[in-house]
Amino acid sequence: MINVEKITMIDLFSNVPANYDSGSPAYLRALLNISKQDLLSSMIDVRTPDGDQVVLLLADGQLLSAYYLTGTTCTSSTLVELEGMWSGSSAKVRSLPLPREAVRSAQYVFAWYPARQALMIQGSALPSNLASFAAQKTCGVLHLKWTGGDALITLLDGVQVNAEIFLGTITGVVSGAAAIRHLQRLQEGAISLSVYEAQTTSLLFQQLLLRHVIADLMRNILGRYSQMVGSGLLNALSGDISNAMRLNNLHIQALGEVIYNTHVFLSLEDANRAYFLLIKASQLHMARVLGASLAQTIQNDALNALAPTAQAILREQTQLYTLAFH
Amino acid sequence: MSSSHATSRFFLYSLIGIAIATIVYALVYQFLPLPGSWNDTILNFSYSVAAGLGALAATLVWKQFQPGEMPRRVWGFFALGLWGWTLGETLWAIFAVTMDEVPDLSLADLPWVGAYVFFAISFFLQFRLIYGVRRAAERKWLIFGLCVSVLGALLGTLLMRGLGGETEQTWLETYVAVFYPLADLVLVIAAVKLWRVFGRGMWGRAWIGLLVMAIADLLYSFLTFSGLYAQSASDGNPLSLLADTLYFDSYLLLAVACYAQYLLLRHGPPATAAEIE
Repeated sequence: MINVEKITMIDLFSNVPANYDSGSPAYLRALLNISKQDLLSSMIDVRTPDGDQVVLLLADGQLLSAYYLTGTTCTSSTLVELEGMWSGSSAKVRSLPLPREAVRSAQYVFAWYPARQALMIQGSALPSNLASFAAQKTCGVLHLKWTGGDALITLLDGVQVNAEIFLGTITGVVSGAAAIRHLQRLQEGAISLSVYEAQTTSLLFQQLLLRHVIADLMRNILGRYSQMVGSGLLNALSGDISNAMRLNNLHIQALGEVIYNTHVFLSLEDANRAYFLLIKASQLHMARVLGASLAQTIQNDALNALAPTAQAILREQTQLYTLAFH
Repeated sequence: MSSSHATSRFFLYSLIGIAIATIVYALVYQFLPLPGSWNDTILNFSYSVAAGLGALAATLVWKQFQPGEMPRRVWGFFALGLWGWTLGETLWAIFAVTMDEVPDLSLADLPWVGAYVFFAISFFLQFRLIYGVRRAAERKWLIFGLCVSVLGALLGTLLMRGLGGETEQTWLETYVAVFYPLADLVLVIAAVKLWRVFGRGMWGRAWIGLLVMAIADLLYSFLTFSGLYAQSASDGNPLSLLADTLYFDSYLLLAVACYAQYLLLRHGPPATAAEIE
C-alpha cells in the first residue's frame, strides 16, 4: 500500500461514454436548460483553461450542486458564482448522463472532499482493504480507479451499502449486484483508492443514514407481512406502495421485500414527507388485509427490530416518527 | 374489472345464493314435499355439499401459497379440518339412508373429531404466526384450550355417568357427546380471539366463518344433549329447524369466507395507493 500525492482533479466515471464539447459559461447555461427540459440526471464536468475543474450535478433536470475545484480546494458554489470564477473563455465540457442515484453518490465525493486517504493498491488487495475499512467502521465513500474503469462504494460503519455501489466502464454505469460481481472479480494490477470520509453533520450524510434506516425498516415490515400472508399478497402490497410513490412523483419502488429508493431529495423535510407517505402506504394496505391493530403491531415490531442506533436516527426525525409510529 | 368490484359482486351473488339455498332447505324441512325418505336424504346430503364447498375453497386458498410459506401450513390444516367435516357429514348421511337409526357413535365421528385436531393445529400455527416466539403465553393459552376440550370432556363424562343414573350409552359415546360442545366452545373462543386480532381486516373472514360454524354446531350439540333435537325432518320442531338451518347456512358462510380469502390472494385487496397524499 503506497500513499500517493494529493489528487488535484477528480475524474469520476471517466471511462463511461459521454458527450464531449467545448464552450463558454453560456454554453453551460444552455446545457442546463436542456437538462431541465428533458428532466435529465447527469454530471457536467468542465475543465477551465486555467486548469481548474467545475462540476455540476443534476438530478431530474434540477441542479443539485455545483463545485469549483482548484488544485487544493473544492468549493460548493452557485451557478452565478461559477460563471464569475470562470473567465469565459472556451473550456472542455464533458456531459455524462447518470442514473440519479449515481449522481447522489457522486455528490458525496465533492461534498466530502478532500480525500482522507489516497492509496495505490493491487487489485487482489481490495478485499483486505475493504475489511480494514470495516474494522475501522468507516463512514463515507470510496472511489476506486483503475485503467478500465472506476467505482464508487458507499460505506456506513464500514459496511458496504449494496444499493449504493456504482461501477463505470466503457459499457456504462451499473449498480448494485452487477457492480459488486464485477468488483469481486477485479484482477487489475494497480488501483487508486480514495477515501472520502463522511461529514457526519452534513445534510447529505443525514439523508444517507435516514435512507438506509428506512430501507431496513421497510424490509422488516415487508418481511413480516410476507410471513403472515405469503408472497402473493406481498407482491400486491409492493405494487400498491410503488403506485402510491409514483402518484406522489417519488422515485421509490417496492419489489418483494426490498425498497429501491433512487429519489434525490433536496432537503431532509422532503425526505421525511416521502418516507411518511411510504410508511403510510404500507400501513393502509396492511390494515385492509390484516386489520389496523395487527398492521400497527407489525410496524412497531419492525421498528423495535432495528438496531438502537437506527431507532435513534428515526426518533431524531421527530415529525416523521410521531406521524408514523403514534 | 377492479378487484374490489369483483369481490363486491361475489359477495352479492353469494348472499343471494345462500338466501335461495336457505329458503329451499327450510321449505323441504318444513313441508316435506318429496315422497318417502327423500326429504331426509336431500337434507342430510346438503350438509355434505355445503361442507365440501368450504373444503374446496380452503384447498384453493392453500394452493395459493408456495411450498415453505408459513400460511400454507395454516391453510393446509384448515382445509384438512373442513375435509374431515365433509367426510363426517357424508358418512353420517350415508348411515342415515342405510340404517334405521344412526348410532350415537359411528364411523362418521372419527373424521369429525379428527377435524377438531386439524383446526386446533391451524389455530395454533396462525397464533404462532401472529405472535411469534415472543408470545409464549398465546401458545400456553391454546394448549389450555385443548386441555379444556379433552380433559373437560373426560370430567364431564365422569360427572354425567356418575350423576345421570342408568344410561344405554357407552363411556366412549358419552365422552364424544360431551367433547363436541366443549371443542366447539374452544373453537369459538379461539376464533373470537383471532377476530379481535384481525379486526376489520379481510384476513379474518375465514376465521369468522369458522366462528359462525362453531356457534351453530354448539346449538346443535345443546339440542341433541337436551333431547330436543329431532333426528328426522318428519319429527321436526321449530328449534330443530332453526338449529339445522343455521348449521347448513354456517357451512355455506364458511365456504363463502374461504372463497373470499382465495379471491383476496388471487387479486389482492382494493388498491389504497390513491388514498395516500
